[in-house]
Amino acid sequence: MNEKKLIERLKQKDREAFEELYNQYAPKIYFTLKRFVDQGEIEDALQEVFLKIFKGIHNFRGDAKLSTWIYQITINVGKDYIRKKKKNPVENIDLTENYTEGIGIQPEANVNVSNEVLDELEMEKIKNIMEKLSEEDRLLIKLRDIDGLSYDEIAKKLNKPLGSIKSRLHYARKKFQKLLKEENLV
Amino acid sequence: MIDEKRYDLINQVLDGEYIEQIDRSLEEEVEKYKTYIKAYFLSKESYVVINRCKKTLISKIIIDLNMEE
Repeated sequence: MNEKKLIERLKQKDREAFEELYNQYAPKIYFTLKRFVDQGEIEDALQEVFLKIFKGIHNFRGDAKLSTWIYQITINVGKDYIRKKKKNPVENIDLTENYTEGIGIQPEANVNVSNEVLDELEMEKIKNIMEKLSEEDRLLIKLRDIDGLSYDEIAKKLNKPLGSIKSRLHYARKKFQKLLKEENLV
Repeated sequence: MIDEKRYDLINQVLDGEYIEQIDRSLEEEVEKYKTYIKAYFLSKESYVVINRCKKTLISKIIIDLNMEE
């Protein structure tokens, strides 16, 4: 469905069109919102963005691209969450911690929702590469490089010797990097 | 620099070890590794949340819009 047709059908409250818009934009909106909101708030924020999109689509004149309009809504919802946090300094969030460089949409002006640093082709390649690693290797990478656990903590969690955790993770990272090279991603 | 030595260095940097005179291309490789890993796990996480929300969210919105009329 092209953009014009999609907008027309959204204005007619066509459920299929709602689903298409959701499938197309929800992951990008999610990545962008992650820069502003905590994990516990992400579902509410996502819902708020889509509610604003679907309510506002009737007034969308098409002067800007649909993706740009959606981007503005997403950023505004994200900023509202930041403002709410500021009212309660105890819960103030660390934006640097929540900012995930290189994915989602960029917060600068004039950049639309589809303008990602990691494009879909790259993302597909990354998924294929990760699937070539064993489940255990993926878990080790997640625990160490995403969750930030120490080797000791991982060893205890998985009930395995510290030495084997270290060597296995080294091997997993190396394998991942070799595959990145094969795909010309580094 | 041969690959094996390079992989060892990258591993050390990822573990937060200080490497004296790290070359720029190695630094870039480490950053790319971090970006790709984050992108992968974030997309897995988003997939779960997005699919969980999909049906209820769309139904709720359609009901809301109908009630507004």
